[in-house]
Amino acid sequence: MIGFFLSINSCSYKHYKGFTKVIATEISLPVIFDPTFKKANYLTHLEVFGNQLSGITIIKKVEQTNTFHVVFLSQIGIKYFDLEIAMNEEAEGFRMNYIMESLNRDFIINALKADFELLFVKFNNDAQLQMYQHPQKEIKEIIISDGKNLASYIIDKKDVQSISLKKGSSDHASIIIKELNTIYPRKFEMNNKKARMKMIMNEIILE
Amino acid sequence: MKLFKPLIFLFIIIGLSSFQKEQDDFHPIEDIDSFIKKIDLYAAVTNTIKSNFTQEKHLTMLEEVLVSEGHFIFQKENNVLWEYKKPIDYAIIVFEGQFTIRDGNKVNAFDIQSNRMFREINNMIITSVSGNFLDNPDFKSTYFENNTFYLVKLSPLKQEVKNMLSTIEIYFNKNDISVSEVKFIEPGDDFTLIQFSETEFN
Repeated sequence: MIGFFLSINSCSYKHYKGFTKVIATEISLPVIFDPTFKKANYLTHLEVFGNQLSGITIIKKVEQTNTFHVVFLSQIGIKYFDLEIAMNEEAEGFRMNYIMESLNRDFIINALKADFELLFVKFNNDAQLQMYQHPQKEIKEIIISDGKNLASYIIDKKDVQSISLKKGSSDHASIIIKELNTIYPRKFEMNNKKARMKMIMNEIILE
Repeated sequence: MKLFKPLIFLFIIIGLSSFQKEQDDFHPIEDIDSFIKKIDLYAAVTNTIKSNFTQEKHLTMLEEVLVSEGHFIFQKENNVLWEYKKPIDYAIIVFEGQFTIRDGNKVNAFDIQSNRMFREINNMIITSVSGNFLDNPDFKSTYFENNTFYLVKLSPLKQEVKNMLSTIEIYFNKNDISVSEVKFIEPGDDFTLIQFSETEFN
């Protein structure tokens, strides 16, 4: 991966060195989960404030409501959390259906919200998009800003490779996609610096 | 239920679940003391249990059922191996007071009491394998039966547990008082069903 340098101040944003701004009439949001995506199961390791949990995460798309449903369970069937993110513009957006009592802290819920919205590319309608292009390679960066948050999606050819989120002047969260197929990521790692929470997801095929 | 000893149901999680239970026609047990004495007697003569199990996690909203399979060994007094073979290799080992998790090739031992999160998980595991919640004042027990089964329903009294579980149902074969299956029902109607089979015991 190219050396990455991000900084933000009140009126400017510095991205990869050498990248040039692409002037385009319309910039599309990056796609990580293809519209044809239905469901994936992941072997999951969650580390939050020194505690480690493992289990299986199900990510399922509910077509009727255009909602991503995420459930993280332990191997013995204990549910850690169950959340939904509605992608429709008019929908409420984020909903935590259940979270285990010991995880039920605002900073954890906020981190899960931020991380999964970043993964599913959920932004407000008025978010501003900019695109930058590497001069030689087929690498581009899409920057999405909604005024408070700034997200950077690094795309190699067509595949999103990494995402980073800044809130204010500090690094907030990042996602590294290590392996993906044509429809969804098969291996990825979410790291929320603010909550000191890391989630490692590796696809597992269940019968 | 002071008559129940810790881990008493673990002694009797011995499967024999080859036949389908009749879910209907349950009515309250009239002679509860007699039922409890049967369980105590059975526990007293059982030292080791080996059993296979199938675990189904039913997620109602997702319309998904996750199936796991594994093997279970209990050795008197409190040694337990609860091992998943499918879909992933994972085991919980309780041996001489130490709690160990084997996750693939990774092995971690920890002090269960030092961490609230693990303590909750441990409580659920113990609930799953031992049934010592019957000895726990945090649960209210009610007893039912039909022609084939005794059914014990456990309702949590502590809010912290209520957040995770609404009811635990344990089905005992009437023939030998062995546990056929255990069902953990959560608020919102998701549930985990554990069925035991091919059980051996000394």
